[in-house]
Amino acid sequence: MFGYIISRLLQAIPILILVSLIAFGIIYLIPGDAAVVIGGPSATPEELAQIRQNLGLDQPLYIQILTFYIHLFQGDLGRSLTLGIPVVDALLARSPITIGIAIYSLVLTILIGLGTGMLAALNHNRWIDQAATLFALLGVSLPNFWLALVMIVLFSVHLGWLPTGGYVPFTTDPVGWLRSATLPAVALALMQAGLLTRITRSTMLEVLNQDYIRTARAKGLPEWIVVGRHALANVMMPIVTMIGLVLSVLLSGSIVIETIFGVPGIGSLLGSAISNRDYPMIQGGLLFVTTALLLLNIVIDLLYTSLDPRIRVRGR
Amino acid sequence: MTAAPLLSVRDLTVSFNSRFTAVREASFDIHPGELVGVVGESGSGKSVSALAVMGLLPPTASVTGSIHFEGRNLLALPRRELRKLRGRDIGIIFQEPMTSLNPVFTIGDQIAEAIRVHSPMSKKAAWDRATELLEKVGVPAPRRRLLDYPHQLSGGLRQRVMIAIALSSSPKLLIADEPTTALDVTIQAQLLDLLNQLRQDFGTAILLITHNMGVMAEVADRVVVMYASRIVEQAGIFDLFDRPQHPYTSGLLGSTPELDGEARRLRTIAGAMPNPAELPPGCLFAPRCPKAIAACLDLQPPLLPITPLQSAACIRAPGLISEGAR
Amino acid sequence: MTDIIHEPSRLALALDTTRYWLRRLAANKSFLLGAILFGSICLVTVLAPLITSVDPNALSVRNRFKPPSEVYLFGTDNLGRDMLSRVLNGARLSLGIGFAVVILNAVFGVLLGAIAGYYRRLDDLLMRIADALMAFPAVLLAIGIAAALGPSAATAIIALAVVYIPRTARVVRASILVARELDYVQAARAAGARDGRILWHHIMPNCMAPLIVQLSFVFAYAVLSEAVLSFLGLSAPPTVPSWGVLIAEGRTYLREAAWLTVIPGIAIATTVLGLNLLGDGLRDVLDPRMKVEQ
Repeated sequence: MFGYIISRLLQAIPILILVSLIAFGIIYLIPGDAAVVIGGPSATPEELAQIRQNLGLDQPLYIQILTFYIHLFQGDLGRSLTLGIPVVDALLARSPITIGIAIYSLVLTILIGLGTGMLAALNHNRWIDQAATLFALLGVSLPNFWLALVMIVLFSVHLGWLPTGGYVPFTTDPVGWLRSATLPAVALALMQAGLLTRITRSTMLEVLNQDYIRTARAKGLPEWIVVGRHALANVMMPIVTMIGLVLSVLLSGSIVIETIFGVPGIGSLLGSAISNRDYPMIQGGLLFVTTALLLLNIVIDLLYTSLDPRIRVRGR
Repeated sequence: MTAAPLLSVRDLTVSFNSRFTAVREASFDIHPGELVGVVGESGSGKSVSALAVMGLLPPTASVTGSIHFEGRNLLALPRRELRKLRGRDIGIIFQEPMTSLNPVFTIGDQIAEAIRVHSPMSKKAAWDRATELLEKVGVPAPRRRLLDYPHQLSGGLRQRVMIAIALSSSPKLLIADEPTTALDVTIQAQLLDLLNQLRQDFGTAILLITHNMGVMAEVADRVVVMYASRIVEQAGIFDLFDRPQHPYTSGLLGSTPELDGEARRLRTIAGAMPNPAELPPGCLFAPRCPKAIAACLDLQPPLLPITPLQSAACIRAPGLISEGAR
Repeated sequence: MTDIIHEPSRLALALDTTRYWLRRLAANKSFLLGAILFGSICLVTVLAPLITSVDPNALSVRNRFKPPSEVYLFGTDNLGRDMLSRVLNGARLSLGIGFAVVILNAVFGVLLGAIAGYYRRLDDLLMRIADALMAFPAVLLAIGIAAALGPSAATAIIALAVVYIPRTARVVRASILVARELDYVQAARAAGARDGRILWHHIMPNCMAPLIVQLSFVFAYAVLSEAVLSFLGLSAPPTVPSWGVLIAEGRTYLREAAWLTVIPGIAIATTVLGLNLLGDGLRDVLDPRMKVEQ
C-alpha cells in the first residue's frame, strides 16, 4: 500500500510541473506590454519599471522560469498587486471558508444525487424516474450563477427564509453559518447533483440486474436491505471516483457564487483579482486550486482502492 | 409416494409483458426427500419455473396457476410471508457462481447474513454456524475462507459457498438451477455427490435443473422434460431411460454421450427450438419431430398418462400406440 | 482511377446511410426534443431582425423597468431598453461564440487526437499536456486565460477552445486507437497505403460518431461557460450584450425587476438543455458503446 502511495505521488510530478508551467505562462498571454496593462493607462514610466521589476518581467525568460520554480519550492507564489500581501497568505487565510462551503455542497450533492438516482432506478420507467431524469437534465443545463440569483429572489426576497448574502463564520455562530452557507451550497450543488443523479441511476439499474442482487433476495432478505446494503455498496464505488470531478466543478463555480453571495472565500478573492487585474493572485489561485485538486484525487484514488476489495488485495 | 407432496405445481403459466410466454400449464410434484430433475434446452422454461417457485421473477412477469408448498399457495401468499419462506424453507443455487456473490462483502458476512435473517442470533454464533456450513459443503480451511472476498475463490469454491448459503437455514426444498454448468468436470462430479449426500443426510428435497441427461442419470429419482415452455414428459428415471415416450426425450437421450465412454454415434435433434414469440400451431415439437404425422400439426396434446408414473404429451407415444393396438 | 469508377455508388451508399441514421434519430425522443428546443432557439436567433426591429441599445427613460407585457414582451431594463431585442441580439453572440468553440474543437481536436492516436511517439507528450490542461477546473482555467487576454469575444472563444480541445482530442484519440487495430486498416497498411490516406479514408469514419456526440456536449458546455465569462465581464463588451452580461446587469435590480435576470437565464437554460438532449440522443443512436443502459 505504501509503495502504491509513493508511485501515485511520483506519477503526479510531471503533471504538476506542466500545470505550474501553464499557470506561469498565463501572464504571457497578456497582449502587448503586461506592465502597461497592469499599471493602467495613467501609470508613469517609473511605476511601470517598478511593476516590471516586481514581476521579474525585466529578466530573461529562463531566469523568470527558474525564479518562479525556486520561489514555488519555497512556497512563494508572489505578492498580490492589490492586497500587498503574499498570495499564499491570502489564499490560505481564505481557504477554510471555501473548504467549508465545498464540503457542505459536496454532502448536499451526494445526498441529492444519490437519493434521486436511486429513487429513479427503483421506479424505472415510472413517473418518478421521468421526473428525476428531468431534474438531472435541468441540473446540468442551468447556469448555477443564474440559479443562485433566482434562489435569492425566491427564498430571500420573497419568502425571507434565508439571508441574501453576507457570511457568518462557523466558529462564531454555527446556525448563522448554516443559514448564510445554504444558498451558496445549494447553488453549487444542483449542477453536480444532476450529474450524480444520472450516474447513480444508470449504475443502480445495472447493479439491480446483477446476479448477487437475486441471491440477496433468494436469501429472504427484506427489500430495504437488498437495496440499502447489497445494491448501495456497489453503487457507491463509481460515485467515489466522481468526487474529484464534482469538487473540480464546485471550485470553478465558487468564483461566481462566492462573489454573488459575498462569501469571503478563495472564489471571491479570485473574482476581485480578475476585476483588478491582479495577475500574481490569478496565477497563484489557479495553481493552488489545481494542485489541491490533484492531491485530492490521489487521496480519492487511495480511498477507492481501500473500498473495493477486488483492487485492495491486488495492491496489498 | 402416497404422502402429500412437499411442492405441488399446477398449471403454472408465466408470461412476460404479455408478449411471450416462457412456461405453459406446467404441473409437477416434489415429495419430501425426492430429487426431481428438470431437463430441457436453454429457453425451454426450466429456470423461469424455478424462479417462479422462489417468487423471484421480475415485476414484468405475470404468473397464473398455483404453486403449493406444504399446502400453502405461494402465489397467493403476502409478499412478507413469501420473503420469510425464501431462504428458510426453500433454498436456491444459481447457475452463475462467479457473479452470484456480492463482490464487496466477505464470504462469512454473506453466509452469516443468510443465517441471521431467519434465526436471530449473535454475529459470533452466526459466523460459527457459517464455519460449520462451509465445512459441511467441503470447503477446506473454512475459518480462513470466511474472511475472503468472492473474487479470491475459484468457481467451484464459490458454488460451494452458494450451497452453504442455500442450506444455511436447513431448507426442506433446495432448487439447484444448473449448478454445475459453469464448472469443470471433476468439480461437477464432486458437487453432484455433495447434493446426493445432503439429500441422504437431511432428507432435503431437491429440484435439479440441468440440460445434461448424464447428470440426471446419476442423481435423479424422477425427471421432468421441458420443451419450448411445455412439459413434454414426466417419468421415473429408469422408465425414462428405458422407455422414453416422447420423441424429444428420445432425441435428448440420443444426444447424450454414454457415461462409460463407449464410442457411440451421437444423434442430435435436427432443427432448433421455435422462437417463443411465434410458436407453430399444434404440437410445438412437430416441426422437428421424426415421427410427426398430419394430426400433430393440429393440436397440442396435453400430458397423457402412459402408466401411473409416466406421462408424455405425444399422440405418437409408443406406450399409447401399443395400448391402442391391444 | 478506381475512385472515379466507384464515385456514384459511394455517393448512393452515403445517401442511404444518411437516410438510415436520420430515421433512427427521428425515432429517438431525446434527440427529437433536443432538436426542437435547440432548433427553435437557432431559428429565433436567425430571424431576430424579422421579430423585432427595435434597437437593442435604444434608451427610453420614460419606459424604464416595464415588466413583461404585450408591448414589451420581455419588459424593459433600467435604461428603458427593450429586453426582447436585447435577448435576441445576445443570442447571436452567445450561440456564435459557442459555435466558434465547436469549430475550433472539431479542427484541433481531430488534428491533435489523430496525431496522438496515430503517431505513438508524440502520443505521450500530447497526452501529458492534455492531462495537465484537464487537471485545471475547466471554467477556472478559462477564466484565467480570459483574464490575461483581456475582455473580448475572441478571448472567450480562445479560452474555451483551449479548455475543451484536450477533451475532444482525447475522445478522437481513443477511437483512433481502436480503429487502427481493425483488420481492414491493418490490411490497408500492409498494402502500402500512405498514412494520410489511411487516416482519412479508413480511420476517420470510425471516429465520427464519438466526435459528433462530443461536439454537441462541447457546444452545451461552451454556451454555459461563456455565460460565466461574460457574467464576470471577460467576454464581449457590454455594447453587444450576451446573455451572461444581461444577467450581470439585471442582478443589480433583482428585487424590483427580476425579469431582467430570469429571462436571459431561461434562454441559456433552454439552449443548453436542448444541446444536452441532442447529445444524449446522438450518443444513444450513433455510439451505443457509450450507452450505459437500454
